[in-house]
Amino acid sequence: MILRADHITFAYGDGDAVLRDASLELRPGIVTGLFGPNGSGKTTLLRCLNGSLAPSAGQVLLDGRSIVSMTRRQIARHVAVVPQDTPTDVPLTVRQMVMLGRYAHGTTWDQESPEDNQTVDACMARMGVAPLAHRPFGRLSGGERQRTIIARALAQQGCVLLMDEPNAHLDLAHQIEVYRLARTLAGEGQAVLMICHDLLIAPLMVDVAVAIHRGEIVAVGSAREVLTAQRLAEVFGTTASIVWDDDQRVTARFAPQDRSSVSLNADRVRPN
Amino acid sequence: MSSHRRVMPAAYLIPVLLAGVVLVAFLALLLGGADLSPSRIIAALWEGIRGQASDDTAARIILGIRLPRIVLALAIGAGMGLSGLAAQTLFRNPLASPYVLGVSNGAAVGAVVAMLLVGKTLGYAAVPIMSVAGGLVVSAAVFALARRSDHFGHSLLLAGIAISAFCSALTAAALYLAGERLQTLVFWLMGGLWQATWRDVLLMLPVTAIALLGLMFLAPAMNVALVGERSASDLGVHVRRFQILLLLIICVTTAVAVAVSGVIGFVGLIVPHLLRMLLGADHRGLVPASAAGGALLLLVADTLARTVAVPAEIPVGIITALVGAPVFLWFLHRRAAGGGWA
Repeated sequence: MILRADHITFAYGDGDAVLRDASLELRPGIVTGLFGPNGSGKTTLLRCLNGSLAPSAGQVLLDGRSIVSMTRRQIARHVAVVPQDTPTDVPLTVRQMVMLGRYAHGTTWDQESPEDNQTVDACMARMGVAPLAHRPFGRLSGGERQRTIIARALAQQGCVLLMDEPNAHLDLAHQIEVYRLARTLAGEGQAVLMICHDLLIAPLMVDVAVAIHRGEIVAVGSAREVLTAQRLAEVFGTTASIVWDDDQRVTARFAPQDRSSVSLNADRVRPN
Repeated sequence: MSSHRRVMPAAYLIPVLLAGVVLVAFLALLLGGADLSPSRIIAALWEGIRGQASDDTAARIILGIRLPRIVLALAIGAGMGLSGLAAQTLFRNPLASPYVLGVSNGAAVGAVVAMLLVGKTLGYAAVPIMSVAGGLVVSAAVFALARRSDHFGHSLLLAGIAISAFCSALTAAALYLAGERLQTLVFWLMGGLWQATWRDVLLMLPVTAIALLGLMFLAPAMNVALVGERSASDLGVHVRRFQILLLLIICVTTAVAVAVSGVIGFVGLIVPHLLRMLLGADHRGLVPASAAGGALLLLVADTLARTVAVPAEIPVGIITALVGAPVFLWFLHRRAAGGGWA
C-alpha cells in the first residue's frame, strides 16, 4: 500500500500554518527518513499522515483512498505509529501493552484470539522483550520501553510504519538495531517513515531522505543528495557536513561556532 | 521489590463477589425490626416469584420494604462502581470519581431544585431529569475546563473541587429556602435508601444494566485509553466519541443514583481502585468486577446503616464517608509513595 500526502497544509487553530503544501509518498519496501530541526513540522506531518490531524488543504491518500474518510480502526489496521513519548504511569504489563496493538483487529466483545496471542508473542520475541512479558511497563528502562512500543506497533500488522524519533531514548547499539529493524520491515514489504535526528547513522540507513524546514519540504532524494553541507546550514542553521567515503563509511563533521570542529565516524552498519 | 505483582484472574474473583452479594442479600432480608424466620423469607420470595404473594405483614415487609431496598442498594452500588471506574479511565486518574469530580453535587443541585418544585408544577420524573441535567452541566464544565490543560488529571480534580463547592453552596441556598421541607431534604442529601420503592428500582436498575453493558462493550477501548489520547487514537480508538460515551454513562448513572438515594460518596472511588489492585488494569475483568464489588459494598453499608442503631437508622452516606475517607487518604499516601495507578 502507498501512503501519500498530496499538497497538504495544516495549522493549529488560528495560528500560522505549521505545514505548507507538503507532498510525500511512502512506498512499500522503502525506508524514508524525515530530517529537520525542532519545530519544523515533522511530527505534525506524521500525524497528518495517519489521519490524526486533518489538513486544511490537500489530502492524505492510503492506496488512493482519502484517509479522513476511514475510521480510526481501519487506519490502525494499516498504519502503525511509534510515538515520540509514551506515558510511563500506565498500569499495564509489557504483554498487555503489546496486546493493545491488536485492538484494531479485535471484535469488541472477544478475549484475545489464538492469532492475537501468537502475533503478540512473535512481536515481543522480535523486539527482545519476551522475557519482560509480565513486568509492569512503568518499571522498564527507556530502551526496554521503546522496544515494547515498537513491538506494539508491529502487532498492528500494518503495511505502513511511522516512527517519531524512535531512537530518542536508545543507546547506540539499540539505535542501530532499530534502523536494522526498519530495513528488515521494508524488506518484508512495509513502507517505513522515520523521523531522524542523527546525521551519523541515519543517512546510511534510509533509502529516501526528506528535509523539512519551517513546514515546507525542501528536498527529497537520496541521503547523499539531500543532506548536503549547504542544506544542513540552511535547515539546521549549523555548520556541518557529511563526508561520504566510497559508500562504506560516513563522517559527519560539525563545527559549532564556539568549539573547534568535531568529527564522528560510523562504519556502514547497513546489512547487505 | 519483586519484579511484578501477580494479579488474580477476574474469573475467580467475580463469582466470589457474586456469592457474597447473594449471601449478604439473604442476611439483609433476615435482619430488621420485624423478626422473620429464614423459612418465612424463602416462602415469601417463592410466593412473590410465582406472583401469588399473600397479603400478611411478613410478606409485605419482605416483598414491599426489604427486597426493593436490597435490590436498589445493589443497583445503585453497581452503578457507582461502574461510573467510578469509567471516571478513572476517562481522566486517566485513579483518584477520579463522579463524587470527586463534582458530578454528584451537580446532580444534587438539580434534584433539590426539582424536589422543591415537585407537587407544585412538576411530577415524579422531574427529580431524575433535573438531576441528570445538573450532572451533565457539571461534567461538561469540568471536562471543558480540564481539557485545556496539559495536566489534565490535576486540573480536573481542581476544577471538580471548585465546582463541587459551588454546587454545595447552591444546594445550601436551596435548603435555606426550603421552609418546612428542610428536614426531608437534609436527610435525603445525607444519602440513604430508607424510602426505597419498586418505582425507584425500576428507574435505577435499567440505568445500571445499560451502564454495565455499555462499559463491557467499551472495555477493550478503555484498556487502550490507558496510554493517553494520542496513542489511543493511533491504535484505533475514536477518542472523542469514546470520551463522550464514558461521560454520558458516568453522568446518567450518577445522577439517577443521586435522584433516588441522595449523595452517597466513596463507593465509586474505592471499589474500582481496590479491584485494580487485585485484578490488574484489564477492563474486561474490571467492569463486571466493579459492578459486583460496588453492589456488595453498598449492600453491606446499607444493611449496617439500618441495623446497627435499631430502631434508628443511620444515613448510608455517613457510613460510606466514614469508611471511605480514611481509605481515600490511604490511597493518597500510597500514591505519594510511588504507588501510581495501582
